[in-house]
Amino acid sequence: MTTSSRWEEFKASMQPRIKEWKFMFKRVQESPLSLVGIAIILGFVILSALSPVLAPPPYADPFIIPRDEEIAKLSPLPTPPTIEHPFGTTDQHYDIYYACIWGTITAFRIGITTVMVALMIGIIIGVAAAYYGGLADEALMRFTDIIIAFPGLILAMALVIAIPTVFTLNVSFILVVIFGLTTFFAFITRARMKIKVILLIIFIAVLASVLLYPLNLRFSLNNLDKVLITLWLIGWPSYARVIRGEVLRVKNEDYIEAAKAAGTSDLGIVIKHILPNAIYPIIIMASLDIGSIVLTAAALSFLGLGAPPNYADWGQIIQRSRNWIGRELIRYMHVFLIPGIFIFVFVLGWNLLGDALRDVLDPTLRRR
Amino acid sequence: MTEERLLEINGLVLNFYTYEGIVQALDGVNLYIRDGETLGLVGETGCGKSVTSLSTLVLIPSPGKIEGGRILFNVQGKKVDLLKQSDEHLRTIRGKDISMVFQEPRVYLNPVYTVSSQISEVLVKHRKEEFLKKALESLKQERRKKGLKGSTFEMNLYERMLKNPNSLTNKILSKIPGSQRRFKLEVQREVVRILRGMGIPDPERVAKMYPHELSGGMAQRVVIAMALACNPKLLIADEPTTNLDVTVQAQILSLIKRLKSMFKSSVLYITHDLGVISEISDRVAVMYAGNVVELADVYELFKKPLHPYTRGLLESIPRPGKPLKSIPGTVPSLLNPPSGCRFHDRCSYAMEICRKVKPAFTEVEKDHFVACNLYGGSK
Amino acid sequence: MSTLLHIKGLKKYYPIIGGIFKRKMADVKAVDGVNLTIMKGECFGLVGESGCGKTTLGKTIIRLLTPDAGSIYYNIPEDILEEIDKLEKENPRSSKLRRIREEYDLATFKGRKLRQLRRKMQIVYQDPTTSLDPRMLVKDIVAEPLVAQGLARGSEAKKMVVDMLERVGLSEKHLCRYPHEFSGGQRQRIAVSRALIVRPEFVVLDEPTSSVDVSVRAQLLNLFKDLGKDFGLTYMFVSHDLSVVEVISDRVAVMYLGKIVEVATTEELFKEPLHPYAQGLFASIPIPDPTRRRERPPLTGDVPSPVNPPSGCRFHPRCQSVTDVCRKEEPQLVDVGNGHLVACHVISSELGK
Repeated sequence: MTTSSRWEEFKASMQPRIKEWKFMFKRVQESPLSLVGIAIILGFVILSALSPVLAPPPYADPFIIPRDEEIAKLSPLPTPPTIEHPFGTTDQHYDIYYACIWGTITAFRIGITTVMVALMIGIIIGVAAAYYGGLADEALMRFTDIIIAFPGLILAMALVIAIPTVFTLNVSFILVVIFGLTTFFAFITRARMKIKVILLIIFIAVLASVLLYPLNLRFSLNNLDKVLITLWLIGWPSYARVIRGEVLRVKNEDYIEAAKAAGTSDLGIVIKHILPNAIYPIIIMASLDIGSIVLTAAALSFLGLGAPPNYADWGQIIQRSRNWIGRELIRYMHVFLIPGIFIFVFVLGWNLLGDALRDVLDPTLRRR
Repeated sequence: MTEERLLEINGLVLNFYTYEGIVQALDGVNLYIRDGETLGLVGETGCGKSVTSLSTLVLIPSPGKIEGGRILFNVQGKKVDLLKQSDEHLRTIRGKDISMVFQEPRVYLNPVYTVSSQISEVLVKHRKEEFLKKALESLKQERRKKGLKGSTFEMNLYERMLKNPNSLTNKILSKIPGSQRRFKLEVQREVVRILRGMGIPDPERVAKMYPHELSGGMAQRVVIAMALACNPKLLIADEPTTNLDVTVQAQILSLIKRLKSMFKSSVLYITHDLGVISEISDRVAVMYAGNVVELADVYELFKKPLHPYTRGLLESIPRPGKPLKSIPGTVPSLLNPPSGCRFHDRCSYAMEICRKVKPAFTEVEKDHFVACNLYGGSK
Repeated sequence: MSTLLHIKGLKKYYPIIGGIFKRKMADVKAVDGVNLTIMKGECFGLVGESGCGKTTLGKTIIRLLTPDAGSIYYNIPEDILEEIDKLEKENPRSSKLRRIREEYDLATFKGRKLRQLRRKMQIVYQDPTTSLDPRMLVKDIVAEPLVAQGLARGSEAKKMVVDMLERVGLSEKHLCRYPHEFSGGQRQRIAVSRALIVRPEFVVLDEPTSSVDVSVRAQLLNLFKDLGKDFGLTYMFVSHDLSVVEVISDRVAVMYLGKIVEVATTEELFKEPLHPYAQGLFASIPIPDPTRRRERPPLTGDVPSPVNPPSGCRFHPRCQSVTDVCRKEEPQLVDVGNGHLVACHVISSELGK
């Protein structure tokens, strides 16, 4: 097959997809608010891409907010905006402008990684529960119910405090458990003899090597990492629930049975048929959630459980205005107002974008 | 021959404005229904049967727009164009003069109300006066039998309501629990009577059921009962038996036939099933791609179909022992319908003129209309 | 003509789960003890009203559903079948019987064996709008069985797909389109090519023409006939549309509430149905000829619920020639001559006289 014919084939297979995209684009164009949302998020993306230019980092770690310690010693109080510090400084003379610019990256990091991980956990649990049903469904969904039953912010606070700063992962133990279970299941199900033997050998090898060289991994976590882990752990249940419902709907469609009749394996059916048809609602949810996750992270920071004091994070800056709640709040309002506006616009942007995605992806609104 | 036309649709044009372009759903539909007859409207999926029926009620689904034509309906001896009536006037016509039965009966029954409360709602809405009178009469008789004179609160209330149906005091008084006992009883009795008329066994029990407890055939009977509750002049039935089993379908068809002659209504019966059409209709309109291509008496149509599409349709009915014939090609997209006669690219008689000229809807023989260029000159 | 399928006492129940503890409340007896034989190369029609279990029976035979009881012998030599009969009479629990069943009885198949069976048995669904994945291109839809069975991939698979599409009247230019871009008839052709691309021997056609238009229906029926001849297929044609069944089938079974009530050749059955239900069903079809209208509906009442089927003969509450024995005893399929089987007490008693 020549390259040109390959290209032709590729072009031909892309054509219907391009048609769909054009249709989506047209739908987005029809609602100006979603365009605003896209513009806002694009603006933030550009901002974070340009942050080394807009606010050149003085230290090796760009997320450490620069401060003039000499001036801070003279006056620990916040200073209002000046030419040198366009957004003013907090107490201890941290530069708000710098914090806001680099805080954008922090916000993206918190929002997007959290949503990704939560989506992954949610999809695995939701799909497994719905596709296998019965006892697996019961167990997994009651577990999600338990997590949902806790008020989110309070659970998050408890978890942030509960997660140890230094974390030792006993890799040997985990390896032995994983291989042990796999081998066990291979033996109780009717797998091929060859596979059983290979698994048994691997298991023995792992056991021996682990006994000889115990493996331990040590992680040290800063507060922001803890917030991220916390958000991963509390974010997934809503996705799991929604995708379970979607999978239950899709599962009964004829084309799933047709795929079974074609001889496609369970995993193949899930990946090729169920997920593409069930995933859109939770993608919409996820884009709407990025905003609220950033809000939760900011709330944790505000409560003093988030990023460390010198870290470029919007919520952390707002936290620094806590000391002036009361008489002097108006005087030093730039400390909370400016990062507050950043958070507000960021969350608004994601919400509008989520609406736009819903307009585009909602299967009930598809033409035909 | 007296030819009282109850409904007449002339040159109805309806377009849907969608993302992909203008869907020319109806392209000059012509048909008429006489008093007391059943017109079968037959055609394939997407030919515009259902859109035609919805336009008759001036209920056009969302991106659609009527671009031309007239829908003349005979209201009390006067012909009015339904497309020019106010919404308010249309509401009184819908349900009372024209009512509709759909393919899926359960969608049109509210799942949280019993059968009897749904039917009585329709009855009270359109025939309130009649029941008030009945209730009053029966109360009076009862008192006369007992030798009592004067009147009770209930009777006074009914009299007041009859005199002044819109007064607010009466409305408030009628809300007192128990104040309308006899009236409700009369309505209930009528509901049971109607259900019995629908051939429903044990109507008292069925009246107390909720829609999900009914079988498909039973639910369709209830919907028909609701549609006929106010004795409409025109019943539009949009594939009412498509989702039913053949044995139940046979029951419903004979029910509609019986009710039609009982109520002296006209019926517009929409279906894709030629068997059903031949069973129920007096005359048949055949639709293809947004046009009525042939309109004729049912015996005549099945004996002597004139339009090539009608012929193809009749030939594609499977008959054992004969080779299966079919119309080549597929139904055209109405986004981009063929020029001239919309059937020309599937027609084996197509001439040069068919590509260019849209054939006129002409009366080739008495009461036999065809839209085809083959017969255009014969008039 | 040799037999392809022997179906014995096949049962498929759907549990109704309810209550707080999610216990089984009752069973929907969709297929309740069906005995059938299907010949090699014939088109076997299965008719009945909705909810009588005809689709469930079709899907259970090709093992898309697991039967609750009974056996399905596929392509089994006569002598082994006789041996099974003998063993079942003597000792239904013998290990020899179990071994034979594990080899031949589709009802016992699991895992890999079941997936390999999909090469031999395929299905075409009623509604191609729901049986084709809306987010897949035609080439991927049609190639799916090939890829899943590991029969072909890449350009080889593509060539087979194109061949198959051309065989059903589509072409290469349709490869890269979504199903929603096609008309109903074309979609059903895509579904047919997906079913036939692995060259199966037995195909269940589950009301394949009920969702397409009259003018296209004849095209599809002709296609099924041609493909059946060319590929040497055995069909099971499930439908409620009797006129279609009459045209395409060689033999027809009538099903009522999970039971087969009559089996005969198409000609015999359509000329003279014996079972009262079959008679009523056949007389209920509206004939597209206004000169042959019916006066009254031939059958009254609805189909009873398959959760609580009537005792004895399941048709007795609607039957006009019901006798006492009908209410108590369940009739068995009896051969009234020429392989014409009927399950009716009245007819078998007449035959006895």
